[in-house]
Amino acid sequence: MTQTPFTTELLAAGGPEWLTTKRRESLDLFNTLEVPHEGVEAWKYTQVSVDFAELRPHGKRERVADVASLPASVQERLNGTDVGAFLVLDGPDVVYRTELPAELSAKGVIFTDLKTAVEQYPDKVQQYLYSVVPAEVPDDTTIAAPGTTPSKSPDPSEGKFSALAAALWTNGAFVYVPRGVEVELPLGSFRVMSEAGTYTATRTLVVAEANSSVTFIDEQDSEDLPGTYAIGAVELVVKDGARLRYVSIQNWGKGVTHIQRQRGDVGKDATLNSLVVTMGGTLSRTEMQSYLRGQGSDSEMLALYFANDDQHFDHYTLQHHAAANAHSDLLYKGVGDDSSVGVFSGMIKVDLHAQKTDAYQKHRTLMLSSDARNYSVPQLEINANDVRCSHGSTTGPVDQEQLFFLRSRGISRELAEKMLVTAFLEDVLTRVPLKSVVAYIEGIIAKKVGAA
Amino acid sequence: MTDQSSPVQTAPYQIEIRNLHASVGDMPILKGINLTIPRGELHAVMGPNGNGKSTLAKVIVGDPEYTVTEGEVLVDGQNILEMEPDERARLGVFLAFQYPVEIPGVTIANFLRLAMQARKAEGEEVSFSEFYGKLLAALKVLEWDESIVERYLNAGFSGGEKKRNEILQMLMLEPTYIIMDETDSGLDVDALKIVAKGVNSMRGANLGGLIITHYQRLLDYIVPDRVHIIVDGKVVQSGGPELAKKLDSEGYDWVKELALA
Repeated sequence: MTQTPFTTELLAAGGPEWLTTKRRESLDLFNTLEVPHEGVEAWKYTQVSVDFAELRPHGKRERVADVASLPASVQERLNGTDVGAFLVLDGPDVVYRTELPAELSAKGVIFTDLKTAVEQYPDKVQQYLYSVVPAEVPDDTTIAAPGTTPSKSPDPSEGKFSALAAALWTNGAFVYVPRGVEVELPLGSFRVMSEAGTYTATRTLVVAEANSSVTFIDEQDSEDLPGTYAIGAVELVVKDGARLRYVSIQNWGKGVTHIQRQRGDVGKDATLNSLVVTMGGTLSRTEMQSYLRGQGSDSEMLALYFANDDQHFDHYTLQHHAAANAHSDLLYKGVGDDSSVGVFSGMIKVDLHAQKTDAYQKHRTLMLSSDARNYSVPQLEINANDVRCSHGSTTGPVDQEQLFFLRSRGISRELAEKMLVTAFLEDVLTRVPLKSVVAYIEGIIAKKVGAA
Repeated sequence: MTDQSSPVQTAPYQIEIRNLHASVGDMPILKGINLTIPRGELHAVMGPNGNGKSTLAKVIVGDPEYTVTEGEVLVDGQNILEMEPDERARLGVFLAFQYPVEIPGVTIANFLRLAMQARKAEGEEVSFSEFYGKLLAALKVLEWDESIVERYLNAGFSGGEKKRNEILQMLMLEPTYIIMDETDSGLDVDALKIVAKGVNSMRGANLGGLIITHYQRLLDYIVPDRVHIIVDGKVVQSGGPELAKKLDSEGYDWVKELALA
């Protein structure tokens, strides 16, 4: 009898009993689920073909003592960052880290890797880990009035990759900000991979206690790595009155399949701002979900992406209004060139008692090639009767009037198009008050626009 | 082009429009325009709305919305109608748009720098001092604060600011032929004076062009060398500045008669 995949890794993962149990249950769940097929609404336009039996884990890399021993690309990136403290992960584990400023540690702020946190802060980790992104697909069935048709429940297969991530995560960042503490400089993790034909599973947990504030930057970057998988889960706990800003920048090399579920649980009067940037990889599925649990909670959800060559980018979003007076505002902007595929499925859900919901969703795509395809699927499930919800989606080529205007000033068509693509994407960044991160993203955009 | 023996160099320095016909879709708008504007002169083009004034402007700069069906436009002896819009601009032709577009995400500073750069030879860079020196001088003429160039191109600008921005581009790019398309529309007197000041600061032997307007008002501040009246896609009357004054006092009815004659 052949062993089911990943059994070896599971045994090697170790940890306290509650965690090993959780991992085993997650792998059991994984084994019962199918990879989502095109009949599953949330995965309709994205099929992942993977032979799990063939997957082997990314090799472990030695810790290094100084920045100079890190890969050149990482060093270059670290030079331009203004984060207060950071972790560098190469494949499964941390290879370098800086310490939090003493003044923040003194206030009780914790920033470490998740594996260390399990040992040093077991209570905190056990309380929150898997609470936002569990192994199974979160049950976002909306609460409807009695007698009315309830909304469609998620398909269990939507938990396939999250179950894998829950079972096999090796490490990731852990951030804990105590009540009322404001962390000014962003904290960050820089994830790289360096071994083609492997997989990496990571997990990030950020907990912002009541009335605290923090920014976390989650960057992914690598060389081209054929047949490589990055499976991730990001859990964001935003307690009452807290403010959390989360930025995810996916800039993997070609050949990488990126599948990551990012979800925030947002308390009363709390705010979650997210920015998703997708530039790299060959197949990328990034979910951003805001569960607006508390009254008066707020979520801003921004994204920008540029797909070219044969890249396939799938962005799934959820604005789940579970309480009254909450506000959500989503703006996703993307560019499709060559024979790329862009998918946006954006769901707004409003529960029965979530009156005075104010939810807004906008997706705009710029198409630079007639071979590029774009699928935009906005969906609304509204069960309250006093709400304001709007969604809109536009797709089109570069604005011809703008193009002509630039050309009429002597600028070549090629450069004018690049200027307009850049402007189209950077428009999103005007809403992000993080100077150094914005400059970094602008650099990635410039590189990509120049290469297109 | 710098070769002194080239025939281009011996051509007259002027814009010459010969029997120009143009249409939008199937609809003919220009029906045989003939005009010659020597460098050093600014000519006003007037006429009732909807008779082809703006079409003439857009055809000269190569707006793809319009199709030229007949005729030529010679700039210093070269027919520009086969050229791309950006080539025409680099040749020194500049249109001040009636409705300048808004481009959020592109700052005025970056846009101006790239437009200046486009005029440079391969490998030659716009120097900071060249750019900044020109910019300060232009902003002074236009009574504008330097911070304006950090804003996105026309994004959220008032009508007057957009027109002023057109003149800023004109001052920075130093064209040899300008076409001002109803630059006076939507401007109050103060803004009109600033725009006129900008144009007048460039006037001289090295600037020629067309000032397209429906009203005499702008021509009080930018006095034209000649005035042409376009009705139904043709020039029906030409004269000195007094012709504009006559239109102002007597209206357009009498010129419409000319078109029928």
